[in-house]
Amino acid sequence: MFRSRIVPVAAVVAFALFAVAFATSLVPWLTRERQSVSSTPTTLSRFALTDVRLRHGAEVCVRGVGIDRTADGLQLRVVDVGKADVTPTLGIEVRAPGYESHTRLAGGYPFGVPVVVPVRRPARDVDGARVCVRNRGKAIALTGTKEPMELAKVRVRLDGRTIAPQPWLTFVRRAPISVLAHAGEILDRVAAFRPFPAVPALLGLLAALVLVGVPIAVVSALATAERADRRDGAP
Amino acid sequence: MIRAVARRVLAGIRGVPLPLALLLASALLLGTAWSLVTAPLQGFDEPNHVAYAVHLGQTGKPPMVSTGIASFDPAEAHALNIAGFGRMAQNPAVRPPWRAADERAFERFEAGLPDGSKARGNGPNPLAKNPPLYYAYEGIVSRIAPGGLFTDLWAMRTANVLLLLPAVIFAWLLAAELFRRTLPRVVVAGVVALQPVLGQIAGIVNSDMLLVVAWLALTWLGVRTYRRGVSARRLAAVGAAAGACVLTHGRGIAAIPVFLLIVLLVMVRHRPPPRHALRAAIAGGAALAAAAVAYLVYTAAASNGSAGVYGGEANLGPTGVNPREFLSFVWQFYLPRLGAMTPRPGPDYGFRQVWVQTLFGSFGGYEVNLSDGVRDTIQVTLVGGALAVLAVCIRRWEQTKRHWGEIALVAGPALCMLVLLHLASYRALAGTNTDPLITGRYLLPLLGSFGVGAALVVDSLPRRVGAAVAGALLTGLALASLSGIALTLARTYV
Repeated sequence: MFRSRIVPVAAVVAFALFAVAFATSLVPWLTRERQSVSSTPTTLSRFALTDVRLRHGAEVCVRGVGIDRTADGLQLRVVDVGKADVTPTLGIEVRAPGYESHTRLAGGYPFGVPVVVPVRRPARDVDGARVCVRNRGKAIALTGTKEPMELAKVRVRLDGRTIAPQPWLTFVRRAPISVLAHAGEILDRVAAFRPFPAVPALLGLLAALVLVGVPIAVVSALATAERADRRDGAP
Repeated sequence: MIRAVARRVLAGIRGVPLPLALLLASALLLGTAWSLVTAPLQGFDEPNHVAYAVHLGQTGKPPMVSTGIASFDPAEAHALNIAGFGRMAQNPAVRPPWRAADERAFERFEAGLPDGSKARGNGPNPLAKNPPLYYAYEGIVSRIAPGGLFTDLWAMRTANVLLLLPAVIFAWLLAAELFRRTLPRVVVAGVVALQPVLGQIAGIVNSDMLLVVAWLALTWLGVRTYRRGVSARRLAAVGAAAGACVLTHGRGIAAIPVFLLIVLLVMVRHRPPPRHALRAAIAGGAALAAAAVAYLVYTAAASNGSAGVYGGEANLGPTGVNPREFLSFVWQFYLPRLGAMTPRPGPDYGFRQVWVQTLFGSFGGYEVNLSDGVRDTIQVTLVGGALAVLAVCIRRWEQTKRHWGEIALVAGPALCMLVLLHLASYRALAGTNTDPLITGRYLLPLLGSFGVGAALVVDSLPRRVGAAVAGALLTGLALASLSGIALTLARTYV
């Protein structure tokens, strides 16, 4: 590419900047471990949060939940309604045909902060699950929403009565994982709801092409332009 | 015959300068990546753009603005409201459905829909006031795409990515009229090919993309006609490009003063004989008028309640304009308020939010953002670049005077669009509206002008310094694009 003795400055600057950016940003971004979301059966509102209140002994159940096979944690948020000094113990039960998970979340976790409750990882994707949260302590509330635009197609019952607000539930993979370590899974997700040729293998090829091809193309375009300018005797 | 055509096509492809070919390849790669990391129906107003195009493709008529039986056809409504794509809009806490069971459930629903259900999204659709050119293009694509909603969407997004090709080519041609060296041409075309928000717009379904193409064509044709001389064919091409802007988007109406500016400057420079001038002006005017007539025929034929409405910024309501207040409003958009000025109406929203955040650093529905440090760098680059262009024009005053026409034809279109946008924003905020109506992507048609400014600086600096600036600028844009794609991927699929 650099046949001429004169250094193609633009291309060298571009190459150096790409190299520095890849070393300092891209590689850490690809390898940094982070929490991965498995599915979001209900919504954490961006407009207005609604409390789904649970008095002592009350149980709220969300039906019609889909669970991804990567999930081994359930995220929710407990908020203070002025009745409890510390967060109470919660019983969490997830049931679906062929799948069951029971967890007791001991009190003392912080109010107002998302908390991840362990659930059993399903062997395969689960459909139509029922997720129930029972309050075993003083009255609290779960963060939820009743904004029509944000409601998911699930049914919510509080002590057997249907209610409109939906508590926020997100299934996660508990152990942090890097983008690189679950690249295959990410490509599967990108390919969902897309026709051929958006299949994981080709998407992976495209990702590699974008990451490598675009910098090469930019550096080459600059080098070629500088070479052409010198050939044409431009000042 | 076929062999001759193939030979000509091959010769044409071989004739593409290598740097341009490389930039076209980069643009296509980035646009395709954007179309994949952005979840279906998640681009700016994408559900409504898709609904308009599909309805037009199915019925030949636009949907209605404020009436109708359904905003979306049943498949799109199901995808948004049942499958879960609707509630993830602008909400980084929500992921799209990606389980095989979700996909199968949607396919079962779609398979059960009766024939003709694609035509049912007849409104209300607020985008129905947009003129039809882009939706006709995407409507044809959706019509010939084999399959359901998500096949249509994929085909429409791919068709939009392909619009990057003419956009980059027009930017290159514009630069080729103005710069003898190849490096400045690479800068102008590179600014268009690598700009991150344009890449994202190309990766979704949005009429802004075609407006960018038509506006770049208009800017190039204006400069070309000015440099090469008046002819009926050239001015007809200018009129057709202006007409394409007008037929693509409400903001395209700013192409009308641009057209008049081009005609005026071309006539002043070349002073053709009156009959020749008249013939050329009529040809240009007729091409532009044809667009207006096409629009009137289209809305009259639609006769479904959308006739008479012309898109967005052209319908500003009854608020009048107080010139002094307007100037103060624009001043405060860019600079701190001076003592004698009355406070600007509306939210705290100005240069940083529009030119930096939403033109370069915000993606998705503005919920994916580049870091503050990167935005600060972009702001310094923009302000420094503007000052550098000014300094070059002053330092090379003789050249500036000699090329004032070309400068006016590059800066003029940008100015016309900016006046329209600020006027629309002022009139909205001076009334009862609290939405400033102006956002970064509305400035994308001006990328050609920005690129020429950057190339002017590169071309004026000592060779090595200019080359270093060119390298840094294009790499910065490419890195911003790659960062935006990575952040959007993480927001959506991780």
